[in-house]
Amino acid sequence: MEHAGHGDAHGHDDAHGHDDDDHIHPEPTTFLSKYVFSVDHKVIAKQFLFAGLFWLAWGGVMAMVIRWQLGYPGRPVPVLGEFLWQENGGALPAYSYSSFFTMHGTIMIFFAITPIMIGAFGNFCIPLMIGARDMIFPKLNMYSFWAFFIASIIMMTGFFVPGGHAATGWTAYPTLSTTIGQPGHGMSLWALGIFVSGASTIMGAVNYITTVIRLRAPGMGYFKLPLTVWGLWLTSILNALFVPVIGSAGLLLLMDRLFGTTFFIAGSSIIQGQGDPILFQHLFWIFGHPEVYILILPAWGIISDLLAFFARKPAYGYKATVFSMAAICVLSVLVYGHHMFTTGMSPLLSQGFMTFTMLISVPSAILFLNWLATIWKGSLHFTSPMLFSLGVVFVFGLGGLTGMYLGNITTDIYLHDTYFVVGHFHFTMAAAVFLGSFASIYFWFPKMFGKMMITSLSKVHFWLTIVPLTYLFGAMHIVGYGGMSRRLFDLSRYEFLWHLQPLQTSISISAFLLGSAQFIFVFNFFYSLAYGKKAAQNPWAVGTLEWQIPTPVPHYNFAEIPLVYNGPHEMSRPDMTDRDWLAQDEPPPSTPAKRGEPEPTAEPVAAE
Amino acid sequence: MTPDVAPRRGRKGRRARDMGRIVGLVVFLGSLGMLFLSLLFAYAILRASVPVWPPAGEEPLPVAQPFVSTLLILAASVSLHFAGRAKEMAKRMSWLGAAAACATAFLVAQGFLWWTVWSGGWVPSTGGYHSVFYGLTAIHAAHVVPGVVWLLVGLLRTWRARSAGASKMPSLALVSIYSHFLAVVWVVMFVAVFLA
Repeated sequence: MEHAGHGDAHGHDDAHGHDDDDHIHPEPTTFLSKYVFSVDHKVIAKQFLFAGLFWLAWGGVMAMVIRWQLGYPGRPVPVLGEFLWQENGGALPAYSYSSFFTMHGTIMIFFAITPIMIGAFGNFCIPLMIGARDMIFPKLNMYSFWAFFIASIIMMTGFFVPGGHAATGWTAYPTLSTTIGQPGHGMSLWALGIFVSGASTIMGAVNYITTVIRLRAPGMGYFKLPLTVWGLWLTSILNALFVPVIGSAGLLLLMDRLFGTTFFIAGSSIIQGQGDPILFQHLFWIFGHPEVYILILPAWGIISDLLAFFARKPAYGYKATVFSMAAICVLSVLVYGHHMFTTGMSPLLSQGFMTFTMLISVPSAILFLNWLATIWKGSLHFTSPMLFSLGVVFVFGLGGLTGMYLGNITTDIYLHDTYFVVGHFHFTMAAAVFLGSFASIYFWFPKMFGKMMITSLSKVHFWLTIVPLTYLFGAMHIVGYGGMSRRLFDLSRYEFLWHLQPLQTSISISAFLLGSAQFIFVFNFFYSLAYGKKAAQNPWAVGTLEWQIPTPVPHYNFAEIPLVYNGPHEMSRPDMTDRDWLAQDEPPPSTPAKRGEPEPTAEPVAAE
Repeated sequence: MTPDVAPRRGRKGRRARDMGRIVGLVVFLGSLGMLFLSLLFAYAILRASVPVWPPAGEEPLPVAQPFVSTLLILAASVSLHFAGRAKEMAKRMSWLGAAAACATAFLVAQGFLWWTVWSGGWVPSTGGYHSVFYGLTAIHAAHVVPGVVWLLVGLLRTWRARSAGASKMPSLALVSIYSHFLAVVWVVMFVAVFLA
């Protein structure tokens, strides 16, 4: 079916930059094509959001059970205990405890943060913010969600198989994760679930990277992209390159478990050519360290934008922020060994890894100072997205500082595998991303769903979240410094930890407060979805492209592909008196000719 | 009411679309490349942990059989190259058919190789040496299978274009990039696992 010669009669030969027709699709008409097997990036974003929130709640409940066991060792778990562990008098059995912290980590990382930050906001923001009608491969986008759905089912099945789910910690180190340590099917399902969810992530990453390269609206140069898009794009590059590494580790582990290969089983003698358990740690952390940046980069990008929006100033040092994020991506590849200082690696190697780890603090500090400089002397509007963004800055700062002790070999050998580590990584990649997710949800909810959320409730939610969260992860550093290892089941068995038990209990109470505060969010979310005030087109008065189109966004996003003139945060321009923001696709009132910037051309920057 | 958001047709639109797909495929091959690199890295770590390779007590793998496989997958790549350069549909179809046949023969040769080693008593659980052999070649072969299907789809589309009397041949750019990539991966694997 060739339509040669038909095109030029279409009236589409003007400024419409891209004409890749893969990404343009007709309006869906049936229920299934509109809401279930949709190829529309906005619908897929919502699917990812709901799936991610479901898993976030599931992983959160698991965290509560873990904290119950640590705060009140051996006491029957309220509510859940009666249903799940009747034979044990309602108390959490040791195996279930291991299984719970394993699945808490796995679920939060692969099934909550990834779909919310990357799946939902990546999908929603990238095409809207770069001025595209959809992702470049909409069908691949749909497959990405359904692969994630299949992975979810595989992961969920593990909870119900005989022998229980994986119980090795989310790092799944052999020999524990081979059939010697985990004979049940739970571990195999875990490895398969990680592999399939990795396939989903790679499909998404290929789509995001290509979309940003090919579908930016005319005039939208790389340095006019909102920082949100930069964060998501760099994340996708890391995803595309390093998720396959955990994929290979998962495949080899599956082969060891199902087909009897011996990649990770040392056997009686290494001379016999048996496998090497440490090999898994290499593969895991070659992926695992970029992964922590994969999780945090979208939040960095998003709050870099939000801080500028609600300080009503352009982001300070836009390019420095971009280059810092890129530098962190590069360095993140060279530091994985700092997770393995205690495996007996060569001191020369570990010194190299330590040096690169310390180097990361340079771009991180630039990034951090840019955030502070952005809000410095700004006209701060303490909206709920702004509060959560400031929360990210706060907890990320704390997490960054405590990371210095872990990147340094001498202190790491003492602190390795203690609760100090748990507190540190929860500050950086759990708390920061948690708060960043809420900042994003509060910020884009009006555009996604066409309704406003209740402001007063969101602010209460913020304060009831940030206070217990800071206390509980902060106090974890103290118990870790006091010598408490990770993954201990029954703290009452260790005399040297007895004096820390009141602190443990207070951490648990804090965690329960944090957990209960999330009900405010759940209520706010669903109430606003049903009865919220109708959202205006641009309620936050900002200039990025997604706020310049009607709400709800039509399925084709832009009736006409916008022509981009400005950067993403043209706030408080002195030459404008009627309002303090300028849209990216509005010609500036006075062209800064002295800067010698070329006029945006009608030709696409991305094509050819 | 609904604005005109139809895609642009014609040569320019098609070229932009094909370019987008090529960029997407290259990004994906970056992913796939990292998968194979990490497998080779795993092999390097295992190999570095023993004094001699193959480890004491394990029989060296055959070289002649995988060499035939190498010739076959290279032949598939070369045929595909000529298929891409062919100006007439009939010629392109025969080159495409040859490529698909060679790729299939590669899979058969690999199956025969596994069968030979396996029936010699060298099953995966005999040790790291044979784990590497089975694991790496199987993951590579698992990526060749969709390549063969893709070649057959290309053949079918060319055949349908010819029966419909179309003047333009369906592009082979994507399937060629993918196939050449897998051929290169195999050559590296052959050298690393069987020769080195």
